[in-house]
Amino acid sequence: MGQLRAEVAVAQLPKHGEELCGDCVQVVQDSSTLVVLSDGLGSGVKAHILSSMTCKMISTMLRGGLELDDVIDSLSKTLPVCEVRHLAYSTFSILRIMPDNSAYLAEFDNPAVFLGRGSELLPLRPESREYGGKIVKESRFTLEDGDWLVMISDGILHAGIGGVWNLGWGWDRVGDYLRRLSPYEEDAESLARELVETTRKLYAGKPGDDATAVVVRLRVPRRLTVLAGPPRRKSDDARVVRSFMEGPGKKVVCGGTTSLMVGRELGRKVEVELGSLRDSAPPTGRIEGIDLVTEGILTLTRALETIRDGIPPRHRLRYRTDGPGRLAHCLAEADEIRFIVGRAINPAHQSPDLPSELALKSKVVEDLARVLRGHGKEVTVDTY
Amino acid sequence: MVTITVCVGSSCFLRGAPAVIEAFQGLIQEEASGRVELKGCFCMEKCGNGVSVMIEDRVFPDVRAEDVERVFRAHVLPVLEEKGGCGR
Repeated sequence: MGQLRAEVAVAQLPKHGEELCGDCVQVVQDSSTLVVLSDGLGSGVKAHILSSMTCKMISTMLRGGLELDDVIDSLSKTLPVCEVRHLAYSTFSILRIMPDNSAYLAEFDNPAVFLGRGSELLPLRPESREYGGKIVKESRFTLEDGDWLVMISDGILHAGIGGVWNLGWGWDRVGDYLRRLSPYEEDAESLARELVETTRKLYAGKPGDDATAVVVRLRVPRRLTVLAGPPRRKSDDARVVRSFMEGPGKKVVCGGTTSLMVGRELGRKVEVELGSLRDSAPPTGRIEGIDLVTEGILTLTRALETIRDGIPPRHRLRYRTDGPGRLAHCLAEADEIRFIVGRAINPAHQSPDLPSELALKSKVVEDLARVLRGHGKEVTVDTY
Repeated sequence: MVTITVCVGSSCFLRGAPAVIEAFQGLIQEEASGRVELKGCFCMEKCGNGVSVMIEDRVFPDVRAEDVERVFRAHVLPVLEEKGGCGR
């Protein structure tokens, strides 16, 4: 099996009356995935600063190439111990997933991480090791397609304490909840949101502690190929369309002339779905065997605007029926995206009586690629 | 049945295709309901000319919303009558 994609989502709830959450999460995704969760002792500013420091130190040192052993060692020696309570200020959980889908988990004083496969919880059987007087629980395991991990701070375990639950929600009940919910909440984001939302309800809207949930879901990467613009040389049409059709995963065609080219090369009809026409963008179309057909430059520009300041929650994109919304949804869902950009110039777009919105398609695709990379997606752009 | 196709590609969209479609929809509903099919298409390869409209097989370049009624009376209704005569 190739490298699985780790989709990471974080949801947080600050203690009632506090503006800052005293838990901190750092996620670093490059060829491997690193997630660090830290809970600073207490709440508010002090806890926030301490957990942020812990998170930042761990992730920076690991990224700097230090071995996990060294990081934990220096961390345990650096973390201040509260003079009154004789406790380390911050807890931590470190999850590292390597390109071969093997995972390493180090936990210090946080609730145990949940590992799930389908609707079953898998036991982690950690080994305890001492680093500078601190007992760290270490686990090593291999992940499979569909596996999920949930890291939580103790604010979630305590949900409902003295109210709905005498002693709080508790690890076993939270595990049971996740086990039953995971088949229905397929993306990491909605599972994290549901878990924290339930926590808020159990606290009757007034959380007694900072609560944090980090959900990591593993899956085979979702691939997407987007064809935008016919190639500069017409003699390349057939080659470009063939390369597009041979690409893995979902296929999207952006552009009126481009869709005609695809229709012609494949000998298939191009139809327009007039019902999806909006004031802001032209309607979508349909070509058999293609997942989405849209107009080009305007739709691409609107889709860029939709995701530029952060990808909206999945449930808000999923039911959009307009071209830019559907394109943004395709882009948001994909892990690996290949843009095939043709550089043929439509002379009509150069007309001075049209708004300057008809900027170069390649420029908009460039911007899209940059934004999508910023969201952790692997993006390639080929031009013809 | 007569088919009217309005281009909604980038250039035609910006030059007012949505208003042209709306104008056709109004007229069809009032005067030829169920007898005209209104469709969109992405390009008629006449992008420099304003909104392109095709009625049956004939392309009318540069159609504006205010031209729609004239085009409809001159080129859609007669065809409908002609077809109606030989029993739809």
